[in-house]
Amino acid sequence: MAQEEGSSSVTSPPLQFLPWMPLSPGMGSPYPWLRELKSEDRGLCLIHLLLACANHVAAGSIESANIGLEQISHLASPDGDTMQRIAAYFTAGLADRILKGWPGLHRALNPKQASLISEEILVQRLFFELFPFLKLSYVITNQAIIEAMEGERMVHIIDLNSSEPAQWINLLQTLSARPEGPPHLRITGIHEQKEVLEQMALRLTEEAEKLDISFQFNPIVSKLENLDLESLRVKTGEALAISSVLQLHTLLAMDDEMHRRNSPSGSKNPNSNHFQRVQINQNRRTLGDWLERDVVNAYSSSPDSALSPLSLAASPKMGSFLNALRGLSPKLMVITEQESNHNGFTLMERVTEALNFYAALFDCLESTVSRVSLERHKVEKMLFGEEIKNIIACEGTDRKERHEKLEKWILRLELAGFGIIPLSYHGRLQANRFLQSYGYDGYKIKEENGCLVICWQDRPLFSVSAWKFRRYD
Amino acid sequence: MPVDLDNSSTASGEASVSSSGNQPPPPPQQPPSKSAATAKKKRNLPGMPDPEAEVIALSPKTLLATNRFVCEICNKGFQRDQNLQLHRRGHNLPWKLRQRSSKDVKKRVYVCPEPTCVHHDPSRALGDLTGIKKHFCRKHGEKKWKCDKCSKKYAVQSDWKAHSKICGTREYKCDCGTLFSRRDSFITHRAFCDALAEESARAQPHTPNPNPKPIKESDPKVQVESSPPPAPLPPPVAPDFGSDQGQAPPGLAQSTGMISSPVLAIQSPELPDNPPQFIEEAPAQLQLQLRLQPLLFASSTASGNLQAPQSPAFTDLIHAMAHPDRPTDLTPSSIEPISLCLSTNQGSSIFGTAGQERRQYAPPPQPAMSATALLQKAAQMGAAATNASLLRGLGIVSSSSSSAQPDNMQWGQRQMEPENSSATAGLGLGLPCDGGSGLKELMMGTPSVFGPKHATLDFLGLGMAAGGSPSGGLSALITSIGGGLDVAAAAAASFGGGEFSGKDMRRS
Repeated sequence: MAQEEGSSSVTSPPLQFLPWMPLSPGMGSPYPWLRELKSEDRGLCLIHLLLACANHVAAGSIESANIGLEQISHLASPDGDTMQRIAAYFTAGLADRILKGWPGLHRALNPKQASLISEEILVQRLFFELFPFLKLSYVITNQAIIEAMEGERMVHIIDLNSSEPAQWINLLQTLSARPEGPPHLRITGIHEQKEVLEQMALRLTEEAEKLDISFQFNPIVSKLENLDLESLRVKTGEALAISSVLQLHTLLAMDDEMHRRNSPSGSKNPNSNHFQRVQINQNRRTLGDWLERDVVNAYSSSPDSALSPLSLAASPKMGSFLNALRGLSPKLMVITEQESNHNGFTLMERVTEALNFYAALFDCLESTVSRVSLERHKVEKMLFGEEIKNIIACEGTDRKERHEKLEKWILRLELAGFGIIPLSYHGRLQANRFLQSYGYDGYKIKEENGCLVICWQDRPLFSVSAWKFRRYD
Repeated sequence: MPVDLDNSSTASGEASVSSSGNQPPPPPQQPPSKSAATAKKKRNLPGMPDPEAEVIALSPKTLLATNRFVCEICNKGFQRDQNLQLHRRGHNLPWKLRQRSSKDVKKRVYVCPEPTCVHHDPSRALGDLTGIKKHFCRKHGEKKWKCDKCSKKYAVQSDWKAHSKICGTREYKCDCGTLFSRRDSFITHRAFCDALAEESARAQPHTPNPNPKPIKESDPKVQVESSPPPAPLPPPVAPDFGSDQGQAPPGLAQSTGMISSPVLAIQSPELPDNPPQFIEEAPAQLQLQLRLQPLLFASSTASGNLQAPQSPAFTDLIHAMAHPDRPTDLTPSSIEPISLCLSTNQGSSIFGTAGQERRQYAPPPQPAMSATALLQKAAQMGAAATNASLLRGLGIVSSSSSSAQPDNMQWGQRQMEPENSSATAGLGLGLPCDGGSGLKELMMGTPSVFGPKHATLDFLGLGMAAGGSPSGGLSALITSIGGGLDVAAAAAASFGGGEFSGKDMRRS
């Protein structure tokens, strides 16, 4: 039914006089004027629609969500501009979440298949190459390692997610130029896939050969949560360094599983569970809470903020893992993580945080890679798209992408007995120099409490922090 | 890389102990090996050349030249000084010209002409002419000598000879299965070898061995990989990413792939036999590949040459990615700097080039608004008109609309400011820490439908509207966005709190 215009002072020319058609589902694609939308307006539209739809999904109103998704589909596209692409992947995540309410449907559309390892390797490689983040993280990590291992003759490095040989090739090269000569180096790489580790082994030993460094690579094929620390075989007398690049957050998934098991509303069916749980939480959220959360950051009682000591202590898996690491007495531990809170309790929180975070990442791509590039498409779809889907649609142990902000990591690590090592000025200099040689504007490095945060246009994206085992004092 | 301070006269000469005939005129820093009568020359500490020494920088051509000694009369070249002297006698020179001008031989040190090399710096110069020649060949030269038993290649003939003597003679074997020909490397390995540290067998012995010889001999694939023109087989998946990654448009990649496949075909059969020939044959193609850098999806005809590919795309990827590896050792001076020391500091050198090829890509001509800016703007526009009905419509549970009002007023005033994203970032979605409040503002901010008459109308006409006949919510939104800041703020809160809370409860 047609809608009156009202007495608004709308000034947008082409739209105001078209008769409004009811947007009942079942109409074809009746919105020719959609195409005339400027990209900016379309983007804004998409944002509003996305948030509205996410709200519906969070509240469990599937009908409304369905309509919302349909509306967005007219505007979003994985080949369009940044906002269109983001919307496409977010709606895919939301749709996946809804579909999980019908497990049969979901399984039928997502059959279990061993994804090609080659594809995964490729996508990780593309992420490494299209962005400077990993390279910067490696530069900073290696610089911290070099500084910590000054004078050490035997160095053992444990890599919690060993997939990119470049990191250690760089270290090998820098070590070989050390004035006192390179140390005996041993690297233990942990990864779920044997093939990746074999690759690493090959490349690293080849490089060590060339540089004439005494080197040994120990592969460990294991999931991080099942890691048996005995298998690391840390020896006395060697200096230990641990490197974790975008990996530590996956352990938080285990904690959530324990929470859910203990939660009173836990039912057997995990898929309907999260709808109920989310609604319960939404009710507890008042506007006052929303306003207060920014002010009273550390000690809010809301379960989501997870900054309260209570909730930090209630991460047994992470806590025990960190304690175990600390038990190895590492001289240095460098952690690189995404700087965003995607571990919020409620869907809406995660959606808004993820929107901001991935918007920045997609912007990076938009500014640096052509739109028709297949590599860019792959990274967007298979890396970011999957992360977004994981953040939005999965719960419990399935949701691995539990990114948290630096401040939370600092608290966690300090609780586990680690002390922060401020990253040196020299390390920061190296990183900045690298950025300059990299050639793209827009990336910045900021320093925050002794840690380095890599930003795109002032939006922090990744944080790198260095820790040491702190004795009881 | 140890400096070779032995007595061999030239790098390409025979690796034999030089006889005492080499003495006059004494080359600089002749180690006092044989005749105890000669005064021992002072030797500097390794790595620290004599500060008084004269630094000589020879050109690569000179260093590689095999016939250094040239007769000034007929320009015939000789590898050895003695041979030149013998030859000169045949010219029947008058006495005066016969003598060599024996000026005071000044101490000389040599620098490597390769600018990226550590020894280019005079403070790290090498003291021996032979040493610098060998160094240059080893590090920056092409490896023309290949061991016939294994696949190791050498640039210096003496190295090659020395290796051939011990290749195949193994005396030490570790429990983990690695073989060594040298005692010291064997002992070092044992110190680290985990096979000794435990008695239970691991599922697989350590894949990498410090001494790769046995692997090379047993597995032809790996063997090929280790030698400089590796066939594009699976092992080197990850190339020297520091070098050669660029974005060739797909069409170009295709053509390069086509070029590369015949190169591959040439390579594989020839590889074990004639490395020098191969080098001569395909420099043009390799140069071409080096410049064009196909990153992905080279021609699928190349895949036929690959063994054990996982999938065609992956195969092509490996194939394409393997290309940068090959030239690395073949065209020495041009490639190595790229992979080794692109930026000035060593730390980040290996990651160096990635951006530089990519600089050629220009962002799309029309500067579309970035997504982050859009999000910020959306949050700002939220300040333009606030409406309790929107809260309801979007399902945000809010304690009361009254608490929303003061904020609305605030934002209503704020909207008067020009779009100043940094100033309003505090409220907008631009500030990442503000997740929750950003959400709230964004939710509350979406402008309402104009002049709606029935009370149940909410934002997109979804959910609340009975029977789900949405009344142009989408269109209204677009209109209102287009209208932007002109939307009357008076359109606030016309629906009252009662209905609002009713909906609230219904939602929960």
